[in-house]
Amino acid sequence: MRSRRRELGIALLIVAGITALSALLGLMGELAIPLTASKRLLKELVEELAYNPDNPYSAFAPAYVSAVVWDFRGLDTLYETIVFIAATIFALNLYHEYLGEAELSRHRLSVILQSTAKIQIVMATAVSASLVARGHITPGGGFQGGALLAAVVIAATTIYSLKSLVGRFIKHELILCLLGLATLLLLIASSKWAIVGFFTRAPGYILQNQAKPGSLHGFLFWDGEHWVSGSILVYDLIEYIVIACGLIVLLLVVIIGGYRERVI
Amino acid sequence: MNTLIALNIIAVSMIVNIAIAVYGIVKKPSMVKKIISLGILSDTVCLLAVYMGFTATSPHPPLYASGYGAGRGVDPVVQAFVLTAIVIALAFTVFLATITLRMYEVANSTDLHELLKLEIASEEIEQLEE
Repeated sequence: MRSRRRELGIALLIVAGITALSALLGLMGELAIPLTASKRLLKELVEELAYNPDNPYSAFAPAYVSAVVWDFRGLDTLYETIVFIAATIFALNLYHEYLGEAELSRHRLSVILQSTAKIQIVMATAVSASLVARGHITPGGGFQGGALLAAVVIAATTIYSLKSLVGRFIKHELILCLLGLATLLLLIASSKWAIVGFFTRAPGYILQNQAKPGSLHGFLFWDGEHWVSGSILVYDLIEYIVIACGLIVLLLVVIIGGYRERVI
Repeated sequence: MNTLIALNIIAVSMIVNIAIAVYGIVKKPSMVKKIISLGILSDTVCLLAVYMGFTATSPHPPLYASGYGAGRGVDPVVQAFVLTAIVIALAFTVFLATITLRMYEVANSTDLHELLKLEIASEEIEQLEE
């Protein structure tokens, strides 16, 4: 009890210190970490090349972050996604018996919560799909959508019990299949123009989304307002699957591990 | 004035968060606390990067189709880097969490000091046996 009070006292002291120091700096007209007002050439270059209907070599992604992630430094994101898939498969192989566990918690929340959760789960899943579908034109994308979907699944395991979902709907074979499918899609999507170029004897590059000097391959679609790059939509979908699977595996391993420690 | 105080609260909180996270990583022997501290550190550094991308003259989201045209949004480059950093931090957390779980299964503890004592004890037993 005394240590709890001591911890609370330290936390309050830290909050009070932060507020007092911030107010003092604000009154003096200073910033603890100054903001830069200098001209940012890289930012201007990104804005110029991410979406410019007059430039045929533009990335055609109105959400500049999507253009940077899946076009300008797409190769980096490709490697990063593969690292994430590898980490998830590593965790899944080490703990796959957790997802087939016979003795899982049967505790479920009240009937009222279970009924309202049905509506919320459908709505949250729709929002996550919308984040992915509009990731290339609005803030959001595969990562945010995948994180939301994983949160929905984990919330569902808490509301309807681990036993009713894990092993029946959430199987390690299913997650492995989804990750395999995502990897295959990623490889096809990232190397499509290089493969086409190889067979047609025309230049084509790995992770080429739009036309490049010397190679005019590219896939655009009209979304009602703009011509938008189609490849970025596919990459967002892949990231959605990968992040959702990864987070579900991570959280389930931790939750079931904790449950085993207490009960089994 | 209010904007300055709000920005200062964010900035000072980030500095304090980094200090607490480094303390947790270096000083706390429990692997679980180290993972939590690492999470705090990576999230704070991500927030710091987003903060650096903010400019008072262009506080809009980095989008083309927002009615204000190009050049008025915050820096999209740092936001893209942060996205990468979050994914890598997540992969790293998956790795550390699984290692810690395995450590608990084998040694029945996540305390590094206790594990070190166990290792020293097992070495002494081996030496005695020899």
